[in-house]
Amino acid sequence: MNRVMFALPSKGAIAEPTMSFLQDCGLRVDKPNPRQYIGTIPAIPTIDVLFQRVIDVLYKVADGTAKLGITGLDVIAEYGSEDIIVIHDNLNYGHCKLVVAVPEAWIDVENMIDLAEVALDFREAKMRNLKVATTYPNQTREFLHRNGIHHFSIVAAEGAIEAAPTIGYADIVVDLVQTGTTLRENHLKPLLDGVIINSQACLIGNRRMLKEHPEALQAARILLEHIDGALLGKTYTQITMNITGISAEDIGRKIAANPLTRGLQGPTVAPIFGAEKNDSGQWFTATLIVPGKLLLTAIESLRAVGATHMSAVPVRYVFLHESPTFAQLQAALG
Amino acid sequence: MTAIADRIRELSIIRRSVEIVENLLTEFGYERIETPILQPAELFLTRAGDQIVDHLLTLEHRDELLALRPEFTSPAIAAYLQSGTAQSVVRWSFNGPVFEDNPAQERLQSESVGAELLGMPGRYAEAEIIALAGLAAERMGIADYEIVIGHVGLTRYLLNQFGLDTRAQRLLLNYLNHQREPLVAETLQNWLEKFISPSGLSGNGEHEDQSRILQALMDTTHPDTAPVGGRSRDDILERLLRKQQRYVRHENLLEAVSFLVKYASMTVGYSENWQETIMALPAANEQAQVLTGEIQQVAAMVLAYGIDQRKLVIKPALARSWDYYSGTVFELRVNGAIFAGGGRYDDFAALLGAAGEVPAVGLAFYLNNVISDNEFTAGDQIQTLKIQLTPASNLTAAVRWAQELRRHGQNVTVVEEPSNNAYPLQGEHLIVDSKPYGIDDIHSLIDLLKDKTAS
Repeated sequence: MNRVMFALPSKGAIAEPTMSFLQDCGLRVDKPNPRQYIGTIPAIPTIDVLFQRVIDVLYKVADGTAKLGITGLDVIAEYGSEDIIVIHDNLNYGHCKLVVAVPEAWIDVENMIDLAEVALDFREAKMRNLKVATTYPNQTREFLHRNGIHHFSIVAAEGAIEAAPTIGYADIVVDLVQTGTTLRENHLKPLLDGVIINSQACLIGNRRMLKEHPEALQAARILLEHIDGALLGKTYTQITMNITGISAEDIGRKIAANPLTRGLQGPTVAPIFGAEKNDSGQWFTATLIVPGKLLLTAIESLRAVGATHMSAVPVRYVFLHESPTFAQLQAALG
Repeated sequence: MTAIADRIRELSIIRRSVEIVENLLTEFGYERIETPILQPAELFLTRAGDQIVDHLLTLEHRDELLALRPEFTSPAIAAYLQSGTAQSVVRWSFNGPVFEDNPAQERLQSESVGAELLGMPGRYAEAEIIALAGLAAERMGIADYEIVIGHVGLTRYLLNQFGLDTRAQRLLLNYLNHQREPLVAETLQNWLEKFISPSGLSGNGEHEDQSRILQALMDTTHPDTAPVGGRSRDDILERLLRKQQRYVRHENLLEAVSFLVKYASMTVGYSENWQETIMALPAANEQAQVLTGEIQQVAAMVLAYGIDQRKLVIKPALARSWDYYSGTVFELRVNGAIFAGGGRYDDFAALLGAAGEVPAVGLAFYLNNVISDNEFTAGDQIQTLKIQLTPASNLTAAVRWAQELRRHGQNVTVVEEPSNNAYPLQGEHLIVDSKPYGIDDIHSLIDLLKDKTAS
């Protein structure tokens, strides 16, 4: 059987989170030697893992060396091509923003319109362009033009971009920000309306390879079953409770009367053997899942219909009748 | 407009287009000038318009930043100022490759023809430049075109009525020009409220207190603090002060928004009551009427060149580049694509260090935008006849004379200064060998001119 190369980031902000994410999805990545660039995912034996820099993940998928990969949406926005298809754009980790940041000392600059005026000041008073240090020249150029800033020069830079205004080789920076600490430490401030893109990790594939190689599409399906199941599971909490009622149907109706405690279809109800009957009827145990963020609201609702001794545990996976993202992928590929 | 995959065929068509435009320009007395392809980037970076600077193709050579020329206007004005011919009228034409680093386009290089009429103020020059675009289109067999005429001076004047300073006007126009969606009042108001400080919007005098605080801060802090991000303490505080002083009453702001939404979307056919529409705007007054009259004068002369009035569209807010255009501007569009564009840019010379304004009108043809497979005919190369304008000249008659003579195979240019081979126009009569000729006498005049040429 043909094997499928899956490119993952080897270093950078999303490298470790990617390993944790895949592990949470039941897709543990084994890397036999930290100095090697090859690994495996035991849960999907047809996949070989190739570790690359975040940007090289994109290039490897684009040229077909890897058929699937995980990189950042910021990278796709900057260097994406027709060959690349974003299969899942909401893996929900590696969140960051590409922002325009100016020196804190520029107390007169609060937004992009202020910056547009400062760029004109540079042009008219200093007879030079505003210098912008960034590793994202394409998005930066397009964003600045869209915000009425036309007189700027991009200063290509690698690493330590935040220091550029202090060192003096640029006036402002456009860089990725996670918490903003690095910007603050370098006396820079992001502009409120200067967010170019909200980024996070994403799963990508080579469009042509996915169309022409069934084993690649099959590998994508298995990945997406795990990913969709795990991401959906994370949003739910399973509640098990004891509750009295005349019958299982009676309890089912009471619990499902509130849409919040209806679960995906309805509660599972079973009698508890050995428990004594009381005036309300017989003891049953009921199980259902509720959105995690509404857990306490659900608990209150269940208490109101007589539930007690409730235990709540996280749900690891929720599998629907099919992986919704895989269905979307099939539609996108035609 | 047909997309042509075959690059060789496309180049051949472009070459023929260049010939047609060049011949037309020669008929109007334009002299071909060459400019270097590689120029110091500085010439364009700080002086050319936004659209040019956006996509300048640069390279470094021995610590000097060079640029592949993106246009002909900057080199033309620079050459005009350096040539010592300032104040005399020159008609120059340019052609050749221009370069643009535009991610939205596949190619870096395109073919352009430019024409600059320098040293000639007034409407005649503007009409000639606009008419050249239309006549070139027609000679190329392009029937489905429209000429959109605007007036940057009118737009600036109207915006002044709302208390917006020059910088605010410039940024605002820039914003309007880059809007892809139709302008919505709410979006525009949000934009303006960001530009004008919140304290300025409150209208309670708070901004005056803040200005005093800032002034005090400037007076008391150390001016020698090292610049951060290329700006000194004074740069920052001065701008903050300027921002705080940008006080616009809220009701003025709302009026400006209401006006701009109407003004920016105004596009009226020449045959419609476009002047009345402009004068119905809240900011319009007598001066606006004068500037609107300029558009009318120019348009009337363009029609005298034989351009169909159905081709003319008035869009007063048209602003090709806010940076240096100062008066009438235009674009000739074919199916939405710009085939030619230009206008008056008297302020531009000052950007290059001239002591004052230099009357200047120009246009550029973007030949790659219009590729059609028509039969082209090139005009013959013959001597140029000059019609000299005098204070008594009827300008429209000058256009008619020039056009009629051109129709009879003459290359004709209109000049203001007298010379041995220039024929003055008195009223509607052309004076040749001291004898006045009316337009009805053109055949006998042509015979006379042929005899003179032969002798």
